[in-house]
Amino acid sequence: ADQVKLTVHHFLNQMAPAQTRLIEPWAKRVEEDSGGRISVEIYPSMSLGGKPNQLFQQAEDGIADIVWTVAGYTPGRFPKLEVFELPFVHLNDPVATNLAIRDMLASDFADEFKTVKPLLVHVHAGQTLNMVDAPVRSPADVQGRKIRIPGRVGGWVVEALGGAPIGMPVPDVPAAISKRVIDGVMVPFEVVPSLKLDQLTRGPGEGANGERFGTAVFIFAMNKAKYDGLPDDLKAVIDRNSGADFAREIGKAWLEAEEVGRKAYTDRGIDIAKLTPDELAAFRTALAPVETRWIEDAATKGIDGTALVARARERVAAHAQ
Amino acid sequence: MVLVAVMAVTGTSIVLDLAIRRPITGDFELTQLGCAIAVFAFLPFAQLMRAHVSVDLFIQALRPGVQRGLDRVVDVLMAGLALLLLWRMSLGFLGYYVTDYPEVTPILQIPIWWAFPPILVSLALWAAVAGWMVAGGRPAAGIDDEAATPGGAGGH
Amino acid sequence: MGPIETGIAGMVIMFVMIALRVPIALAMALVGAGGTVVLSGETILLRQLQTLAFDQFSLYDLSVVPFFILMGQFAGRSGLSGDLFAGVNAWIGRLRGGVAMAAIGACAGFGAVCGSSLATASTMGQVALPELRRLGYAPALATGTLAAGGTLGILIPPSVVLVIYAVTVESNIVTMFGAALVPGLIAVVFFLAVIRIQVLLNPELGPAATPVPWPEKLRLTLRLAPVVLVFGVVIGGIYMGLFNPTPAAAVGALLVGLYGIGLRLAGRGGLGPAGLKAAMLETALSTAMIYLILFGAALLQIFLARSGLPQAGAALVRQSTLDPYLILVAILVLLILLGCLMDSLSMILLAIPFLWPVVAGLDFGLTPEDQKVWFGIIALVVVELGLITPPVGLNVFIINGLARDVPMRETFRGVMPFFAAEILRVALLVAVPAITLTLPRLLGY
Ligand code: NA
Ligand code: NA
Repeated sequence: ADQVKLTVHHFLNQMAPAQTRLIEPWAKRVEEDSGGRISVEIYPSMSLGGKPNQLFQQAEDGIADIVWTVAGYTPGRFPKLEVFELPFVHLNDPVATNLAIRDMLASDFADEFKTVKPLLVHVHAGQTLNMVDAPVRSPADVQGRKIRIPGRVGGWVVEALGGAPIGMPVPDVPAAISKRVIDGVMVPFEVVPSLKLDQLTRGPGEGANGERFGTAVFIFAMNKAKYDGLPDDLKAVIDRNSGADFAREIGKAWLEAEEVGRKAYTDRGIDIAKLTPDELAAFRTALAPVETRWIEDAATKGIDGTALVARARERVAAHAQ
Repeated sequence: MVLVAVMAVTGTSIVLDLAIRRPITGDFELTQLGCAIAVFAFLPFAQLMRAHVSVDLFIQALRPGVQRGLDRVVDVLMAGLALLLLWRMSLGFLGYYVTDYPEVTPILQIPIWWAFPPILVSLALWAAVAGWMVAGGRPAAGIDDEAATPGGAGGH
Repeated sequence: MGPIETGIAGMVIMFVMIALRVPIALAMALVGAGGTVVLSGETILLRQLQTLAFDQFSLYDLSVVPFFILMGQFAGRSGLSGDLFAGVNAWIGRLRGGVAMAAIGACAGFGAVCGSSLATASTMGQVALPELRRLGYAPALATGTLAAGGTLGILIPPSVVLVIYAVTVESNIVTMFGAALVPGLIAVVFFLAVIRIQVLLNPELGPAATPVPWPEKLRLTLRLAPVVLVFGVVIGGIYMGLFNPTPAAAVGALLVGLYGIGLRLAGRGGLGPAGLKAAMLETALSTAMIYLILFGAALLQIFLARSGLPQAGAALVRQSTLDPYLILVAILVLLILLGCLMDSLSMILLAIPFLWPVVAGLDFGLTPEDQKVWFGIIALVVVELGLITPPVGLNVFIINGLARDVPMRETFRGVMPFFAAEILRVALLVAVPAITLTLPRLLGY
């Protein structure tokens, strides 16, 4: 039987959970399941060239057969998928959100993914508001403060709370915090150790049940021609290993990764603030305009944002534990 | 052409200067695009001056005629590289421009394709200069200066 | 031929092309492109070329490079260098060997506003060499001092080569600059010691200059203020978090440019219209040259990644039972040998993508991030040695070009004591990582 070599390209280093918890286990299963007919080569740290925002296009073009990337790195490219970045669409359970996205991939998001074969579209555990001095308890605590944002929806969140959204490359964040160029940062706990946020910030916070202020969406996708060119049994191998179980597994893996960041704080004696339901409700009220703004923006692109938001919420609820 | 290059540098620096006094979020996106446009604009000029670093040591043992021949080959290769980039980046431009979802920068939402027209002009100029050199054009003399020229290459 | 053999063949072809005077950037680009076609087909290459150059040229971390070059160009043409030399000389010129030591001090000061070694060598050479010759300094000592002093341009931050290293290994530029400062100051001390020891052994080498009277001394010292100010604003501003490196460098270039224009208006040389134009054109040339090498290096790295050669090299080293320090020394010797033939920037771009994975796999008891910084500074020092080693030592060529009556051999002989001091310094940096790592840690990086 003919051998198939698949190249996987991503922007993080080889120690990152994206490689060790997602790509490597997937590669191993695919290789074994194919009886050794598929071999997977992983290229971390953009070693096949280009910038991270090029990754999705590299999968479209076949520069790499498979990529793992962030949807938000190509703003404007996924106007519908972006619904999952909105605050209070994803709540606190990445497993549920991953499955919700999966439900909508073939229908609502079909045209955004027609140029590739999506293997998994998933989220991280969600954005916390992580402040340099003390946790935010109410929208007023964000008033006038400079917060590093992950992307445009994050920017709208900060603006809606009366803060000043600051965009900057991720590696600049630790220095910017220690020099008080920014007062806070929107990140999941998973990245806390690598950015030394446990040493630099004193105000991590989330909802009482781990509710977050939106999330980021990641794409693990394969070149379409490469997939279409596989013999049927190898296509089946890919499909078998890229289903709902994979979405669940990765959701759990990212939840576990949160614990590493939480522990980094608690080891230093820093409590993670839990917003009471009342406090969280105040944020919901303050952030309602973000959703309206997104729906209006979507309308200019001919997208029915209201329906998308409703369906996304409904699917997340359906998969919630 | 030279004017474009100089304007690009000073323009970027002014933008940056403004950015410091009023920290506009996303100023680094302007820097990125401006910097790329400027660097491409410098390439034809560098070709004209034959400024690209090379190692002279070994070739000096060869006869002058052979050396000139090799230099001509280098000019052909340079022209080839310029044309190749012009061709491929024209397609790259179309990829950013003619698409359902034109890519924009994350914060300022500037369409990426805005940067391409000046870049393509620069590439065309680069190819033209390199082609002219293949046809026998001589590199321009050094940069006029009132002081003696401080050693050009800034990177070392 | 397997992928790894293809990778090796590609490297051989590239070195042959470089030896045939093909520009280094072009040789890297052609071999990278050709190798990618051989290993993965032309479709992938052609697709990749649609955006690769744009991606590379729009890297934010690199945008600091043109501004540092412009700042150095302005500094070189603004009269700053003369003020520096006069200011330092006023204090130590009266010592035996003192004027040469002042030249080193001025090189260090100039290095604090200029990211390039060649620009430092040529600028300070034009200012200090005539003075040294007039006073009757031995030609070898005079030219050797300035060729070696020029290397302070990249050893003292800011440094263009260091920016490129940081971008290549994905390290933080500010951390690298912080790490470079103490080793750079050690270089200054060592260089001063080299001159002092030489004149103590043979007083004929470096006669003393006439002492400068006090009022004059103070007046000349005041002229050092602009350099202190610019260094303070740029490097200090970066550390205090006032700005990122790129805006800092832009402001620095602006300040130095304004200072040069101010001097001209005050009728003291400085930057006129012709100087401004020349500075900008030189900046354009250097920038184009550096970025094209970066583009070539990007293509080459893609080819090498696909060939698996760096990974195989790293694996080989990991499996070997050799002492990590032995491997490190072998790598440094290799870099010094390569430096005899090539310039520092091309070397960093050519060698680091290979060498860093190897070094990263060695255990020196440092965290990966610390090891990256530590190795970067050591590599910087070693790579910079290439500028003063025969047969191709660009700093030596430049200084020799300014003193045409001194035979080239004489200048190379003159730099040898400095070279020895540098080897000693490399040994020190290897043995005591804290020299490199303490300052960035204190600064909070
Ligand atoms: Na410097
Ligand atoms: Na050399």
